[in-house]
Order: sequence, then structure tokens, then C-alpha cells
Amino acid sequence: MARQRQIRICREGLIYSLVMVAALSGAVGRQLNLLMLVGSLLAGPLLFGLVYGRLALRRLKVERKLPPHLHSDQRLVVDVSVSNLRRWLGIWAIEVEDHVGRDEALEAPAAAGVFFPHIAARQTTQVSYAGRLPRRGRYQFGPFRVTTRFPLGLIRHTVVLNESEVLLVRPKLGRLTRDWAQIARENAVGGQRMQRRGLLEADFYGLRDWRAGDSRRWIHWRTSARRGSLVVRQFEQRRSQDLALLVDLWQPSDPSENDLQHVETAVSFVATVVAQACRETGRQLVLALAAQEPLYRSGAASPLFFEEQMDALSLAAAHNEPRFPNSLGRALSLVPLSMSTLIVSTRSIDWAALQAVAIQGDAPLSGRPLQVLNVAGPQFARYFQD
Amino acid sequence: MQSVYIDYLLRATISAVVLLATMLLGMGERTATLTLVSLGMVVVSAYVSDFKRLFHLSQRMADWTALGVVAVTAANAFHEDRPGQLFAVAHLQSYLQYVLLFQPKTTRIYWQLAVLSLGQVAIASTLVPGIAFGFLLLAYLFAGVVTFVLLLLRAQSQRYGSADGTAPASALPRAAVGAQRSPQAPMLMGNSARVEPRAIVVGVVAQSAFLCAFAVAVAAVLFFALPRWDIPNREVATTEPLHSVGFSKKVTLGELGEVVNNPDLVMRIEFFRGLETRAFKPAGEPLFRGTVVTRYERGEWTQADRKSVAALQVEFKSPFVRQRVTAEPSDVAELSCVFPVFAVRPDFRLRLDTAGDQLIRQEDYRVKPIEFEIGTNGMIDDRQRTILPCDQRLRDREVRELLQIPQAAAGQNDALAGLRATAALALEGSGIDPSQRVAATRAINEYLSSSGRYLYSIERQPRDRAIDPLEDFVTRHPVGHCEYFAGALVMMLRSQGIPARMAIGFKGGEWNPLGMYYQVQQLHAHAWVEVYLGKEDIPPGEFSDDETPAAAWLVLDPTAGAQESDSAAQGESLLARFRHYLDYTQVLWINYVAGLNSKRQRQGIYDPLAQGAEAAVENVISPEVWQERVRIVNNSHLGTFWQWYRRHWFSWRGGLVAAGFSLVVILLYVSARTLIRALRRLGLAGAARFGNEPPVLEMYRRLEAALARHGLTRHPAQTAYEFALAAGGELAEHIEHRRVAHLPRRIVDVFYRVRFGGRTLDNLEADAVEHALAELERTLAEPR
Repeated sequence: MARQRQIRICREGLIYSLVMVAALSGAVGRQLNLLMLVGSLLAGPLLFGLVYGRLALRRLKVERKLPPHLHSDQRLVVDVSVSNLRRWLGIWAIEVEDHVGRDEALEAPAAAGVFFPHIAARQTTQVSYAGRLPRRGRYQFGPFRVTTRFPLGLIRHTVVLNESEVLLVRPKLGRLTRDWAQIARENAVGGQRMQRRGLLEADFYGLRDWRAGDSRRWIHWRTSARRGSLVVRQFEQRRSQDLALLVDLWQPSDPSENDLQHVETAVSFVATVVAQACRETGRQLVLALAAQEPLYRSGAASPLFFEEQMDALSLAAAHNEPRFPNSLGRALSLVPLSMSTLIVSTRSIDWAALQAVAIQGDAPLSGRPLQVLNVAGPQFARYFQD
Repeated sequence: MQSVYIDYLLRATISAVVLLATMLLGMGERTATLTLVSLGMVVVSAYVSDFKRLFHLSQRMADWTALGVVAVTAANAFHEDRPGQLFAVAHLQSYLQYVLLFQPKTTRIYWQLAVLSLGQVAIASTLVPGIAFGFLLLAYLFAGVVTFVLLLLRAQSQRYGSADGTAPASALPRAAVGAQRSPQAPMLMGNSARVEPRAIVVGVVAQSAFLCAFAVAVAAVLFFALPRWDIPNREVATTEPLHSVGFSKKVTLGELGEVVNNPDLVMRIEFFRGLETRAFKPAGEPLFRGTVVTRYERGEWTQADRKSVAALQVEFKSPFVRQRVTAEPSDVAELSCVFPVFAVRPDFRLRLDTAGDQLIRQEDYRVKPIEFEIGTNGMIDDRQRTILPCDQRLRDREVRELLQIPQAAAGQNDALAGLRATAALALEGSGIDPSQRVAATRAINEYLSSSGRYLYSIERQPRDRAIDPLEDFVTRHPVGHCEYFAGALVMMLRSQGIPARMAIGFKGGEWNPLGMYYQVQQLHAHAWVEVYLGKEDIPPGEFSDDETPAAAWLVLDPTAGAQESDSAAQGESLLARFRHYLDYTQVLWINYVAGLNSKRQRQGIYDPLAQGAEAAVENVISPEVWQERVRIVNNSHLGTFWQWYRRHWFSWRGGLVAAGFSLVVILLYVSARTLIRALRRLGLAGAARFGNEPPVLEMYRRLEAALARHGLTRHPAQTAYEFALAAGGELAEHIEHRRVAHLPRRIVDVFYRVRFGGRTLDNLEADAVEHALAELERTLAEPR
């Protein structure tokens, strides 16, 4: 653990020193013994502050415990523990400042401090600081600045401990609306035409608790009445529950706040859809991301799949290619024709361009259950609330 | 809760700081008014402003009030003299403190109160020189340190809030840095650990005490190292000048009785043999003579009218004893010490009145303490002489003065007839001729002090006003104090033609074994008798051949029960010991703190340090010292062994024994080291090495080890499950490992079921886990 030491005299220390110097110089000048004594007594605490801080910060171990996962805007709680490794000497008034900054951010890291009034010898004390990280991304925690001004607050001793850790802050999970459930269903059974048939033709295979977005027609009233809570019928529709998410994460070269916000909203929306899809295992999911670093992921919905996609989405950065990305065309070619496909974009989709890349990728659009969502469009708010 | 507790403590300590500072100032002003007013203000403000919160001075009101106070004080101080202006400034600081006490207490207010109190202490330091200042200063230091420590803890606690959910005092603490920046920046809120209030109190008090001890040590070094130079006429007065009784030209019988219970300090006196620097304790109780009176008339003793004041001559007489006297301020010029005296160095502050045979100090040095050294040949073998040498014979006129007796007027009876008759009777009874002056004197003295008829009492006795008080004492009311005894003896001796005078001064005092000095107080005042001896009257062998006194004075103490008592020989009570310590502390304070000057600094600090350093260097580099050491070693057992060794420096038997012994020692050392290391390794490996580790734990360790070899290590903050998920994700990223990506989680599931779920692992499951582990290890071992 690399250490840097700093000693600074505080403003109070400066005033104190001035008073002491004035007393001593006046006393020596006029040979006033007792005033010399008063001035000399003032020197003791100043010297003690110099010595104590240096000793106090010597045998300390500072650790932080980060949460394993965090979504942006979720409450962050970081435990900071300080161990006093001395055998006999307790330490007082230890201030630990942790620095939190996003890798890509241009601004200086934010600081959060915790204060330990007293740590007894051979003991560890833990305090947590809390907060929110409003943006997704890779956050760097550290270094620690451990400071003490004990005993009188005249001298500030600081030691910088280069104890850094990284936390991936995942996209914010929002709420999918009832309208989204509607179009998801439509998409799942191949469109409006097929809805009724798909629903009726599906095989009933069990009951489950009611979730937001479930149709009232699926409620199994007899069981609901018996249990006292809503229970809906589940249908065997494995094929139609598979979902491909193709995301065009675009922003202009000189993005406005709105453009940036649209990118974030798109990522948040995709993360929410993946999170919901992964609640039910067994579904096949495809996530294709047209970003600075294109991404293609395919697999069965599972907690592991969820974890992987969240980590990927937390670092996804928007591209600024004006053309519709070819990567999505290639991704489309890997998506089975029967799989529900949702194209999410931060701009309005030019169907001709889409068709062109689809043809280029040898992925016909016709016959494919395909939906397109423009995050920047006014209709989007109907489906998603962040 | 924690912060509130600190607040209460802080208010208590800042109140103590304010009160102690005003007490110090009050001591300087010699009045308790300011302290009492401050006490009232502290109590009222604590109740009204802090506890009940009924009234607070707003900042603007406080500013205007303070301005008004400054204006009024400045206007008043303008007409004052310099000390008055100093007091005005000190009072102004108190008034400003009163204003601050009624304001809401912030860190700034606490600081202002502390700084103002420090100003008061600084002013008091120029006014209060006594040891009381030192004790109060220590208390002030402690209270101040506790205040500042609490202030720091309070400020930090308020800045961070506390872990028990108490919100920070400020709406947006500095810790929430992100909140003041862009809305996209992290918003973080700090916190403070909770500490039990009792632990805070105990800890803060202990730390403050330690800090105070450190501060005192640093202050001691710095204080004594700061440069001093002599400023004339700067001796420190610790007390008001004493009103001395009996040291004037006219002494009325009974006056000394007034001071027998007066503990006021008169002087401290140390004795040194010759030029030695180590003080010694004289045997018996010395008599410190202040003055002598010769003429008596109806209860009043007066001095001779003559006066012959001259500077003391520097001379060295044998036997030579130095007296170092520190006399307190006094309203009379006479100084007391062991007589006869001579100067050991010129001292313009002292004069000798040869006519009155008394030492006096110059007018300017009466209102201040005076420390001087003076020689005496009135002591021999560490004991005061009973016959004091005198350089000059008295002239006849002076002898006649020593024989003066009140004469009866024509037609009146002799006022001292009874006294004369008693003296004659005492002499007759002893059968000694008055011409044998020493023997006759001692016989009358014996009669007065040891016959049992005359009793000592400090109580005022009924006297017959119609007759002379001494006649009354000798013939009718034989009870009195030392003046009556001494006066009666003088008159009885004179009635027998023996010239005598009454000496007034102090007898003994309180011996301080720590400082090796007598502390003389008013209550040690005493009167005794000195009888003039011509050269022919001096008993043979009284003085050595070196001494050739022209005359002498025989010292007699007739007071009944005034035999010498050696206080040091008696057991000291705890109180007396405490008093000695206190008094010695006062002496040290006066000499080395309040009254430290360049001379004392040099003599008491620099010279001993220089001598010590010189001796240490000498000890290291001097060839003589080393030769002496070598000689001592040679004479010791080691030296004997060395001598033997030089003759028998090699022996086969001894060599083999030594080699064998060394080998055994080395073997033992290596074995012990190996054993300790092995034990340590076993200890670190834990119970697994001894076969107690559950199989499932072993399996999990294998999983971690396999993943670690692949570069996947568990972060301390991760649980096993989180680690397994993360590792699975990593493995799934690579196509060659994708088929085993699910295995870590599967193994950890089993591990959790057994470790935390209390389930047992059946053979089938164990085999499955073993198989999974083997597959994982094999797959990860394959090169990519």
C-alpha cells in the first residue's frame, strides 16, 4: 500500500502560532518571566500536534467494502473499516476521505468522508458512507486520504493510501409499462393478427403469481380466490417468448444533453427488458449492440446471462456513425426468423437503410416478428419509465 | 446524541476556561469582584441561552453591544495611568466574553472565548507572581486543552453526522461534494462512527492530561532556554510588605505576643560552610538577630540615639559560614540573620548599623523581596556560638548604656526594688561572685529559666499597672512570654553590674529538609539577652588561636521552656511534609520561574549543564579515567581471569570443550528455528493440515485454486456465490471454456447447501462434485 504524507498547518493553527509568537516575543522583549511561561506552554500542544499525527497515521489499515453489484441511481453503501494495528495506543479523530470518479468523466472525483472519533488499540471500526451514482460506467474508488487534526485541530496530518478498487455501475433499471407488455405480447405471437390465435392455441402448463403487465384474461379466478392473491395461467409458448434485442446506440458527434440522455434511456430500457426476460429461465435471448464496440450476445435467460449483459451494458458507449450500423444487419442474420425481434434506437429508423443492411447481412425482414422503438420519439414514454 | 453530549461538555469546559482566566486576573487585581461577576454571567448565560434557550443575542445585536463596550472602556481608559489601562483592557476582554456567552455557541464563538481568556491570562501573568498563578495556570491549561479537543470532535461530528442516524448539523456537509457539482456527478454523504459518551469523556480527559504533561515538559525546556538579561530593579514581589513588630527604636512589652500566631513569612535562610554550594542544617535552633534595644523605661525598650551606618566590609573570618537570606518585603529596614556578620561580596543594598549592631536594607529594597549572601563567624562546628566574637571593645559610654536602670525619682520608691533583690538573692544562692561575669550571668539566667517559679505563656497576663511591668513579672505575676523573661534578665544582670542588652529577632523557624533552609515566620519572633564580655571576661579556650576578639557577647535565652528542640528529629506529620513540599515549590517558583534572571539561569541551568557535558566528555576521552577503569577491571575477577588466560591462552581440552559447546548451541538454535517455522506453517494452514477440514471445504478450495491458476481470484468483498457467478461469466466469454462455465456455480451451490444449509453430502453428490471439479481443472489446464 503506497503512502504519501502531508503536514499542513490549519487556519486555527496559524492563529494559534501567531498568538504564541506574540506572547513569547513580548515576554522576551520585556523580560516577563510568567508571560514567557504562558507562551512556552502554548508551544507544547503545537509540538504535540506535529508528533501525534505522524505517529497516529503510521500503523493503520484502511479497507473498503464495495457492493458486488450496483445499478445507477441505486443507493450505494460503502463500508470503510479502519484497523488500529498498535498494541497499546488508541487513536483519535481519524477522518478517512474516499474518492469516487467515473473513468470517462472529465471532472475531478467526488469525495466522501467518514469520521472515526476513536479507535482503540488492536481494534477495527467500521463506518459506511452512502450516496448515489447517477451514471452507469466503471467507477474508480480511491485513493484514501486519511487525516487527523488531533488533538487541538491546529496541524493537519494526511496520508494518502493508494488503495483503489473498481466498481461497474450497471444501467438504471426502470419500469416497463402496461403498453410495453401489450406490444411484447403482440410481438411474442407474431403480431396483432396472431394474438387471439396464439393465446388460444397455446398450451396451458401451470399457474404463477400475477405480475404487472399480465392480461386480466389470464387470471385464474378460482385459485386466486382460494389463495387470496391474483394467480394467472401460464401457457407453453417457448418459441414465441424468445427475444432478440437489437440496439442502435447512436449519438451525434456533438451531442446535446438530450442526445446523451436518449442514449442512457436506451441502455436503461434494454437493461430493464433483459432483467425482466431473465426472470424466467429457459428463454433464448439475443442482444446485439451497435456501439463504439459492437456486441453480440446470445444465450438462455438466466441470472448469469443477466449479470453478463449488465456488465456489458454498463460500459457501452454510443457510436456516432450516421449510417445505420452494419453490425445490426449481421446480427439480424444470426437471429432465427421466428424469434421476436425488437430494434431499439436513439433515432428514428430509416426502413430503407434497415432493409439495406438486412439484405447485406442476408437477413430478410419479411416474415419476421419485428418491432422498432425510437427512444427519442414521443411514443416511447408509453412503454418505459425510468 | 453524541454531538449533544459533546456540546454539554464543551460548555462546561469553556465556562471553566473563562472563570479560571478571570480568577487569575482577579488575583492580579487583588479583588474577587470580576470572578464573581463572571461566575454569575456564566451561570445565567448557560441557563438562559444554552439550556432553556430563552434569549440569544443575534450577531448584529452582539456586534453593536461589543462596539458600545469597547467605546465606553476606551473612553474610561483614556484617563487612566498605565496599570489602569492594562486593567481596562483586561476588563474589556471580560465584557466581550459576556457578550459572546449570550450568543448561540458556534465553533467561532468558542474560539473567541478562548482567545479572550488567553489575553486575560497574559495580562494576569504580569500581575500575579505567586505559586498560585502556577497552579491556576495548570488548571487553565487542562481546561483549555479539553475544550479544544472537544471542539475538534464536535466540529468533525457535525461535519459528518453520526452512524446512529443523527443527521449532520449542516444541511449539506462538505462530505456531500458531488451535490454541489453537476447533477450527473456522484452524490455521496459521509458518516461518523459512534462512540460511547463515557468513552469520550474518559478518553478526552486522559488524552488531555497526557498532552498537558507533554506541554509542561516542552514549556520547561523552552522557558529555561529563552534568553534572559538583567533589568535592574525587577525583583518580584510576591506579597504585601509585612508589618513587623518589635523592630523599631521603641519596643513596648507585650508587642511580640501579638505575632505568636501570625504565620506570615519573614524570610528563608540557608547555611553553607565556607564557599561550599551544598547547604547544611545547623545543630539546634539558631537565633536570628534583627535588632537590639538597650534603654528601658516603664515597659518600653528603646535603642540608643546614636547611629553609625556604613557599608559592609568584604572580609573572610574564620570559622566562615555563609548565610543566604531571602527576606520578604517589610516595613522596617532591619534584616535578621546570625550575627556577627561580614560581607562576602560587595552589596550596595545592605548597610551595617555599627552603633545598633544591626543589618539594614536600603530604603528601595523594603517593598520587594531581597536575596543576599552574608558571612558570619558566629557559628562553629555547624552550631551557633553562645559567645559571639566582637572586633571592638565598647567605649565606656556604651558600656554605661548597657548598665542603665530606671532610677527612682526623688521621694519615690525604687521601681525595680523587687527585681534587684531577686537578682541579688539568685546570685547569693549560687555563691558566685558578680565579678565572675560569665558564671554570675549564667546563675541568674538559670534562676529565671529553670527555678520553676517563672512560667512561659503567650496569653496576655493581668499586670499591676501601678508598678513597672518587669517588677510585676519578677515579683508578683511570674508568667509571661520571651520579652518579659529577656527584659527581666537584662535588668537583673544590670542590677548586679553586668552590662547586657535585649536582642530581638527570630528563633529557629521551620526547617525544610527538601530545600535545606529555615523558613522563618512572624510566629517565630523571639527575644533573648546578650551580655557584654570584655576580653578579660572571655572564658579561656573559647576562641581558637586564629581568632583574637577584642570583646564578646554572651548569648542567653532565659525564656522558660525555650530549650532547643530539633524539629527534624521529631517525626514529621503528613501535613507538615505537605507544607514543606508546598513551601519548597514556592521557593523554586520564585527563584526559577517568576524571578528567573540571567544570573540564576546561568548558575542554575547553563553552568550545571555545561559542567555535566564537560564531565561526560572528560569521562569518555580522558586517558586517566580509562587507566583507572583498566586498573579496576584488572583488580576484579575478570582481570584475574585475564591474567590467567594470558598465561594459559591455549588448551586442547578447553578448545575441544568450547568447540563442542558451540556446536551444541548452533544445533539447538537451528532445531528450534526449524521447529518454530514448521509450527508456524502448520498454524497458517489451519485445521486442514490435521485432517479436520470438511471435504466440501476442501472441494471449494480446489475450485478456488483451479480458478486462481486461470487468473480468476476472489475479491475479499465477494461471497463465494458472487465469485462463482463472476467466474462463470468470465469462462463463458471464451468458447473453449464455455462448456464448463456453469460448473463453478454448481459446485458453490453444493458447497452452500452443506456449509450453510446444514445438509450432508451423499456419495452420489460427492462424486458429481468431484467429477465437475476434475473436468474444470482439466479444461482450465488445457492451453488456450
